[in-house]
Amino acid sequence: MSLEINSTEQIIKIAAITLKGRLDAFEAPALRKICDDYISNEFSHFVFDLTDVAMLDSAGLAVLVSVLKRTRLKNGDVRLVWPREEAASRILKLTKFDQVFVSIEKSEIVPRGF
Amino acid sequence: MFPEITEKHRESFKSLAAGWVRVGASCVQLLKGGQVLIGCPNSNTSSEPSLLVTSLGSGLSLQVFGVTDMRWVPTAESMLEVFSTLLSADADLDNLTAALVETQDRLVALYELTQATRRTLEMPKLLDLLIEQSRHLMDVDGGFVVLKEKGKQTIIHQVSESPMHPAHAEAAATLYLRDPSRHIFKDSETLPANLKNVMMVTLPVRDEISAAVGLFNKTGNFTTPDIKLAKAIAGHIGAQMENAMLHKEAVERARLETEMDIARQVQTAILPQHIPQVDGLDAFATSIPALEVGGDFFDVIDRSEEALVFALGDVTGKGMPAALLMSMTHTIIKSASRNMPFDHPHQVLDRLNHDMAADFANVGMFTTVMLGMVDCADCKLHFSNAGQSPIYHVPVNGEPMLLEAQDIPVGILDTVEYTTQSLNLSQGDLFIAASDGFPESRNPAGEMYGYERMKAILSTSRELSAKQIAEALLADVNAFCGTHPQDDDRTIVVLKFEKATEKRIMFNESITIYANYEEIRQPCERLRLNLRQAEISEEIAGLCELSLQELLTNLVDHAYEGSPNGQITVRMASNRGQIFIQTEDAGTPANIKMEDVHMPDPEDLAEGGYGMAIIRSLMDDIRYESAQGKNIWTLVKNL
Repeated sequence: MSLEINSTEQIIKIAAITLKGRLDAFEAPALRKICDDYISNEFSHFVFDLTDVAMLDSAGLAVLVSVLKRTRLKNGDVRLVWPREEAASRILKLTKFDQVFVSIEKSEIVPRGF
Repeated sequence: MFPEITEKHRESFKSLAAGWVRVGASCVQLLKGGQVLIGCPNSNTSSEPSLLVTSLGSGLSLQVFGVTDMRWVPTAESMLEVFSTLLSADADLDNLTAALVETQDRLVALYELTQATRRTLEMPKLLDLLIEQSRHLMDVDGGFVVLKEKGKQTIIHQVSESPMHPAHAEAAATLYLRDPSRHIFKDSETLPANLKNVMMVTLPVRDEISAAVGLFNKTGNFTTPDIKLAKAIAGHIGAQMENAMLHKEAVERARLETEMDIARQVQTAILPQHIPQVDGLDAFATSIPALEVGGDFFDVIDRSEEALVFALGDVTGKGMPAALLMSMTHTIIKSASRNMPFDHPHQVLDRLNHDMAADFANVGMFTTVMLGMVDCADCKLHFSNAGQSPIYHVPVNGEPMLLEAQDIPVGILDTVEYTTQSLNLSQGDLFIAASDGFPESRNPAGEMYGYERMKAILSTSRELSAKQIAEALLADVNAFCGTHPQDDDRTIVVLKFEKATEKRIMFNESITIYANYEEIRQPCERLRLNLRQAEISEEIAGLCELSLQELLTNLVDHAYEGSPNGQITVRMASNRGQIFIQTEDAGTPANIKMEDVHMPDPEDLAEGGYGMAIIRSLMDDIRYESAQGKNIWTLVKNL
């Protein structure tokens, strides 16, 4: 009996986005635009590298939450590389999103992230 | 009074008279007081009477004409006896019937009185009923009630077509109350000419009230049953009056208690719970409200600059109206001082007077108020005094000086222009503003505490702290007053100037920007830089910056809703103890209660609603005020 082979293929699209500087109300719309484009191109997994984000406010956080919400609908997820600056990580702790977003090390970014 | 001769009597008399005719009599007559009551046969009185018998008991006589034989005398006597008994029995029956009818009448009247009094709790109506019923039942011309209570005006209530002179009524009552066992006064005595007789009974109301009811000019004379009846009516009305008084007092007390409660709550709610402290100044303020709340208020307001604003005032009157006006006054002073676009205290009073003059005039009230501003950097006190007293300045090396008010109270004239006075302050100087509840406190002997005693205490306690000085003064007033209750609120602000510390202000800056996401970065970064230069930790600097960023984003989104022409002014300042961040915008006022702001649950993945919750969790004090088209947020972080 010869070997029976059934194969399926699954392409998981992962977007890795590295941010540097201030992610606030002024910058949030630009990031949202980029994420919207990825999502409409069927990217379901996102990694945001926040290592060098100097400051994160609730408008910036809202973009990350929005992406998480939409990817979860497609069985996707969002992971974060933790910011170095307290001014950026403070809001994640205050809002308790540090318990919602999965954090990874910088070295784990694509392809080993998932 | 002649007995009534009925038809029945006539018949009996006729048949007896017939017997006399048979023995020879020409006529028989029954008389009383020389008048013929009945005669038979129709009289022939021309001849001399032959027999005459008289009954002493009834006053009746029997006269027989034409019979002379003395043997008939006993017969005549028995006939007279029969008629005397008959007539007197009839008279008794009549009297008895009349008495029964009267008693019945009185019972009905008393019943009606009871019913009528049940329907009224009004004093004058009760007194009217009392007199009307007594008049009706006792057939008198009129009546009066005299109510005497110690320390109050005597009340004389009358119902009569020809009223008595009130002085006579009062005199009668006084005479009677001196000896309440004597009820009836007759004309022969001390009564004025137009009075025939007067009957007095006690109106039992309550111990502290001596009251009497008088009834006068009875046809005939007052009798013992009249006294009893009057006492019964007075007893009933007295009990009802007592009810009426209790009811009135209960209603009044309930109203007052509710009103006083609300007034007290208003007053307690608006007075500051803690006194802010600034460098170089020891400040204390307190208010001890009287049982019946007066209209005292005070406030001590710290500003981001090196200045402290304080106010102390007294709205005339007590209770609810005073409390309402006080709270309005207090609010205007607070917002005008805290966001002071004004440099001088008199400008705050001008605005207060301008805003409130009409309201005060409408209710015929006004308020005294003293408003001061301490500038610690300049060692100066600027103040404006609209009729507030006493105000003392105690220079470090001198005696307490009473500073007279230079302006009239607020709310009297809307055209007044208030003035500002300034004092140079030295280390150790004291400044005291108090309400008149201090000097005007009284002891049981009625003496006032006065300015001299107050001055003396300030002089001896000057070395103490601001709080201890206030306490010493309150204790001294209390000791002076002893058991005499506190009549008015006692409110005091004590300021003691200390040596100012070096370099208190670390930064103080103001930036105006357009309301968009890009420009709001400027003040945020500026704040961060200022805090860094002031050597404040990165931790604190970061959370202040985040709070300001969130607040400004909120203003762009909500106050101006993205409109590009809106402007926001951001003030930032810090001293050694606190960081102040203040924003001022002219957009839509915020409709938000900080105590209702809570952090959304992250699992809900909400995309907004975090901003104000973040500020709330990071700042020590958040204040918001909106007035005259300007909205002001103040964030305070303690260091």
